[in-house]
Amino acid sequence: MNFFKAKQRTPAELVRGLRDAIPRLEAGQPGSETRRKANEEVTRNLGQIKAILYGDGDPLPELVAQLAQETYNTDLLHSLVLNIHKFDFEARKDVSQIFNNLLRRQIGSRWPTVEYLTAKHDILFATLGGYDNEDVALNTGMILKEMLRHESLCKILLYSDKFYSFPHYIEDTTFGISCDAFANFKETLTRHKPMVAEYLEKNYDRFFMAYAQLLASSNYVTKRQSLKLLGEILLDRANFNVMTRYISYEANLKMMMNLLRDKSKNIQFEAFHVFKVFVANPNKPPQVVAILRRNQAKLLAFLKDFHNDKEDEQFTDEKQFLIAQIQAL
Amino acid sequence: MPPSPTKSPTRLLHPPTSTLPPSSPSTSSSALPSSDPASQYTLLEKLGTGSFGTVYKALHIPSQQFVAIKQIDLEDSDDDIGEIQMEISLLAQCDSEYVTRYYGSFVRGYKLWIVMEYLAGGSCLDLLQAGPFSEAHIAILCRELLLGLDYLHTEGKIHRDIKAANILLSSTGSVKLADFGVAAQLSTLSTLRHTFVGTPFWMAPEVIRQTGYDQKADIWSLGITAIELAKGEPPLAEIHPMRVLFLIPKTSPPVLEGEFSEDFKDFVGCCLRKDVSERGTAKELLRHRFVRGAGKVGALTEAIERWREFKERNPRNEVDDDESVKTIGRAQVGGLDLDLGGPGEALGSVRSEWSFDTAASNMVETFRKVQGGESDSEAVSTVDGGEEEDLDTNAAVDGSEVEVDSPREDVPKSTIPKILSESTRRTGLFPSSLGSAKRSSYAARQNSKGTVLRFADLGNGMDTLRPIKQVDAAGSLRLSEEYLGSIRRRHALGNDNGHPNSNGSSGSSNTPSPSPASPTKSKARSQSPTKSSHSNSRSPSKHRSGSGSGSMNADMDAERARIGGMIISSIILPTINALHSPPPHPHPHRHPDSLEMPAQELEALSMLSRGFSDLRLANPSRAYGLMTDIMNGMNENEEVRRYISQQGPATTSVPAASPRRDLFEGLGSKLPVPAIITTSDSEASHMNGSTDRAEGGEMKKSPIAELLYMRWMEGLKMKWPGLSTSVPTSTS
Repeated sequence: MNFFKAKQRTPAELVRGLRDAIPRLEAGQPGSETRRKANEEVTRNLGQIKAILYGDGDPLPELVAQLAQETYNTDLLHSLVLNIHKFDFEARKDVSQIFNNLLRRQIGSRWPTVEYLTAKHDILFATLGGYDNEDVALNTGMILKEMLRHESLCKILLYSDKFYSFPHYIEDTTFGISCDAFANFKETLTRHKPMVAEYLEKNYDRFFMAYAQLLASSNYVTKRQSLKLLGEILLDRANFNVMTRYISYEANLKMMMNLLRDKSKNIQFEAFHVFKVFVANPNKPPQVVAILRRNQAKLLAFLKDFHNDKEDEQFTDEKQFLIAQIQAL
Repeated sequence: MPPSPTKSPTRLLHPPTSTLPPSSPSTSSSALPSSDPASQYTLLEKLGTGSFGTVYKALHIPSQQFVAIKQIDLEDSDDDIGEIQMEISLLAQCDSEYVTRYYGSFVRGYKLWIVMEYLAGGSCLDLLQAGPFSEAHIAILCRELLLGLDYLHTEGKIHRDIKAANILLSSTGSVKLADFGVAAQLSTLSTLRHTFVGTPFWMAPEVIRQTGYDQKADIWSLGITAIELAKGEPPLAEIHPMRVLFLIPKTSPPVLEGEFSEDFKDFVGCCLRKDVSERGTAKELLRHRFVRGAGKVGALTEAIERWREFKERNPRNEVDDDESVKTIGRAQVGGLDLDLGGPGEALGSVRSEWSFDTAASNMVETFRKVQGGESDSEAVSTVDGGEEEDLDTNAAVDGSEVEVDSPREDVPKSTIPKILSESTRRTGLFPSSLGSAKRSSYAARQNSKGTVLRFADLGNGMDTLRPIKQVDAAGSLRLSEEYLGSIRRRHALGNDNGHPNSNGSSGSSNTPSPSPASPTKSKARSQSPTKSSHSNSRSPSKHRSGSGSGSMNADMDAERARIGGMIISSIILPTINALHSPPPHPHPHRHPDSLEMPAQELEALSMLSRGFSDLRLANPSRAYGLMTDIMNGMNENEEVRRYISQQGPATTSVPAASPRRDLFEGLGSKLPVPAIITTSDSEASHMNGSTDRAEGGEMKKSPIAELLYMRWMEGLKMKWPGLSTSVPTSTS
């Protein structure tokens, strides 16, 4: 790419050029000259914008500031996310890079792009909606990931109904995209712990009902990943209240006991790490005690043979602890 | 073994077990079908084993196109599945003629299928079976690889596993980088990576040191690969990978030796700079004379042709090497009648269901309402039952490919390459007390406090490591010392087994019985220094003292042992240590490449150190006898004696700047441990009186040599107590 040889256009010109070209992507017939030219225009402008932002490792702050301001003024970011599926392969990658560079932009303690996006929820939701399109899902997923680093944006997503489209994106996409969606789902639930803990306490029923679907998934990957994440959420200190609530429901205990007997060793193992909390709970509700007691002999026999090949000392200790607890029931 | 029906492709007849979504209508380019992705492919033959998965050649039925499918058994490891997705994410972001194309991926049962471009020319490691590449071909390969690396590096990606096995050729000779199983994406151009990953023999020193690395790590691996292409195997291939990891950062870079052009040698040298700032980038190296003058890729079809001919000429080899064919064949036949354990068998002895049913408290009812009936125990168990059936069907389907090979319910379905390394271990090829048979768990490898590398983490050194966040350097070094002198495998190219570590042979580990070739491939020698010293019966002091030749002898023996131990700990070990830790470098900022010794030399010295340390523990009086015998031998050899007597006093003026001073110079030098010499000297003369004149002035010039000589005579006196007065004459 030799756009440095071309006359350097100003950020305003670049943004305008880009915005003008986007509608023309769908003008005329598919495959027409108009579309092809529009595509070239988009790709070239994005390339030049990226060059300003990354500037060979040494970007000019003044140009970057102008550019950022121009994108806010024109809602360019929204337009990019909405139209990214129409762009060329390289242009899509450039969109992610441009977006994420702007997201990382910091002036003193202020994050201008984050502030801008906090006021424009639609951009965040449009980015999440990228999972609907397999061709761009990884590009938008990358942007979403960068957004979720910021608590204000993360909170908007978590508190919105759109958050509950994650299970759909995790369940109903192919492996690569499902994993990306899951990673961002996990990011939303684990990065900003106090904020998430408060949310989970307030929205316990809705959240765990949705979560139970993931745990019951017929897809091995979904089941395994969500079970592991459940363990992480419950065992996090910040989520103590949520955890105590979770382990007071016998239905949850039953689910874990069934998962302990899953055919997959990995799922068994992840289930163990949730199951152990039920047993270790010093204030077990009577119905939980009842189930454990009813299955006392079976559980003891089961745990005796459970994953004895693991060399994990902590696991062995925990298992011994559980056996002692169940014996003492 | 049933005849191999590999010629008739397996149709996957079983219905889909996981509900896969229709792929988005906009994915026109994707090979992903809408309902059951797997049913659209016919697996044809196993191509090999990549990092963490098995690669098959397959036919995409709708398009009648060949594809490569990598199957990763997700249940096989406790890795975070999200990290496995990195490979897909990285591949999907590549659009280059130098990188294998990615078509799509899906999960079926426990297996992830990654569908990629099929390349008919095989991997460079395959082609190496027919012998090393010509220099002209290597030049072409290097240029194409650099073009590929330049693309990746510009994109902020590091491949981290460049080696011949991961370089694929199309039928027309175009060269592509494959297997992004451990590749990394740098988020911004300036960040460094620290994860310990790659394949031991090809790993750059900075990756092993974990001081932070970037794209240039790939350039080092390219240099190693160039040597591999020229020689058939990477440098240090004969050394145990555990040691190699220690040696690479500590020693001077490997050098391409042999009948090659200066340009080629220089090119390799430019890749193999330990100082990263001196190592070229892909772009810079593309301007190197060696690759500038390279020919067209079409010429590489000669190498492909040669390999084809080789395989035709060596059908036996192919059978031996290409286990895959057999494996698939067996699996297909077996798959028909061998069912993989019923539901619950994986759980071992517990088969009964939990008893939930009588628990019908108010709480449950309330919760049921909340959960919308989800929690009903019947429902749960039904769902589970259905699932088990699902997975069973899966297993059966999978079984029709390869899984039948390991019908052991209690063992996690491990595949290559861990089994190879583990079974090798079990057969005692490597010291069995070392570390653990298992590779480190995912949690252990993520531990920021550091992971001690285990044997099984390294395997045979030819397979890709699983990423380790922080290696516990001290712990791993301690462990690596245990492998000192272990030989990874006996030989490489040229034995009748074709290539020793071809994909085929590691693939063979998938079969229950170890490959017939594997036991001979490696041989533990770590115990040998001690053992040989035991079997060496030239100075029989211990036996004599055991047979009760009197307390006098026992005392002398104890004294001999004490002195023997002293020789080792005060003289030999410090001398050897001084050799491999050269004096502080005058330019601390520059990498002292030039001062480091080659790996083979350092390894030899380390073995020597280790051997003497072992000997001191095992039988120090033997060490005493050994050293006196050596001194005696040196003394009796006219030429050696004359040379030493000339060099002795002049050692300091000998061109000592070279770190390659040999042991004799070390012995003759006063430098390493002057204080100890004087002490020992006085002790010796105290014990010996003045019986040391027999040699005249020759040995006197070197205090250590003189001391050893006196010890030797002392030894003689003890061997033949009656002769003590006549000893001096016996040597003259």
